[in-house]
Amino acid sequence: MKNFEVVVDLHYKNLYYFALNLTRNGADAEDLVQQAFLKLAKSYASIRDMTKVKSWLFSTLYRLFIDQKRKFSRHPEIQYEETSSDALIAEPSRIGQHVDSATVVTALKSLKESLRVPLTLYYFEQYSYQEIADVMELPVGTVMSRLYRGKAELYNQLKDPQPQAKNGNI
Amino acid sequence: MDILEAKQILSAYQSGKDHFSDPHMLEALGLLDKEPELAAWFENQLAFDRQVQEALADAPDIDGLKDAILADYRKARHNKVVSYIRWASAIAAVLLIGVGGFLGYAANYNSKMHDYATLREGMSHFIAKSYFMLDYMDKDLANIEDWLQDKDAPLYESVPALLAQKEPIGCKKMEWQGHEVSLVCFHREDGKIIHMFVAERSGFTEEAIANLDKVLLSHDLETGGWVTDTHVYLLTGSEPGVTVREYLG
Repeated sequence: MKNFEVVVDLHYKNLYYFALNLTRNGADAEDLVQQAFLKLAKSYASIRDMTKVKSWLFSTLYRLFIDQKRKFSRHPEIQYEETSSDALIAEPSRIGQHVDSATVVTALKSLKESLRVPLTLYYFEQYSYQEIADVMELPVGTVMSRLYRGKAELYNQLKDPQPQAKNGNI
Repeated sequence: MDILEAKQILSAYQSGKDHFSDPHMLEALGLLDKEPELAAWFENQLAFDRQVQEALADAPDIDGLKDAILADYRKARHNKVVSYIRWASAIAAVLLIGVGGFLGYAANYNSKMHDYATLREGMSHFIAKSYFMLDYMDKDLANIEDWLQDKDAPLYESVPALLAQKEPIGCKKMEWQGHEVSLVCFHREDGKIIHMFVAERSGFTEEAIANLDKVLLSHDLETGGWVTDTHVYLLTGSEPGVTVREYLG
């Protein structure tokens, strides 16, 4: 119990924000986190390499999310098309005003799933593009492209936040 | 590597992380010295990343989520334990029923030896048809005698000379039609067993010990015995073909 509690302590918060950015809904995010930890609890005794618990949790939660989305969505989200052009991309820079966590989370949530997932892993977990690629089961090139594009869109959101986006559920 | 490619790779740059093992990242970082525009972009990028990460570091805790996760964990563990207990109980029950059934069957079967009118028939039934284990195992006859005395079981006056040369196996205290009976077993050289029953004579009817000194087959076992003033004795072979006559003196 003690070891499991330590694992929960270490990861539940970041896992929640990852889930929140996936689902864009606090209650759904909590459900996903609980499901991921429940899966971990059931196989906890058989896990030999504790250093892999974190990536296991994030991968599992992401798979749970994808599974649920497939199950409940008749109209799957249209995936962002990778582009080789940066002509339309704003260049991220320091934002003039102070930004707080709620503003950043709200801005992240306003992005397309294909962008907000890698960005969340990048910012919350300081994951490398290889680690993000492992969780999302994507080629590293796609992850790089999405990070690049996602940062630009996040910057646009933070620079000029859309009023309705402020109502996000944290 | 062109500028766009370098930007995409550098978008994944994590301050404070070791990127030395990543040749793509190293190549992109190498371009910073040659491309001032890229270097400026990268600096802005790092500033933006810092700002976002600082903001996210203050993300509030989620009330009750940790407790809910730990409650789930306790429940999952409890369910697992309950599941183990159920399985263990089911296995124990099956074993109990099996062992209990066997013992019940054996006890019922063994009780049939009391239905016979003579000690010979009762004891040969016990050897031929019953399931039994010795109460005490020892190869030393003196120890077997001590055990029988300790248990207040009938003790023989003497063992026939030829039988006394055989290796003892052990003994059992038992009861037949209300009479206490001792069973002492001996190994023959060929691995067959000779069983010697002994009981106190008092209380036996003449019918029960009639013709005990004759060698007769009972339940296909060769049997024969003798009666003294105080005791009755019966020898049986462990299986058909095992003779006892040579031990009767």
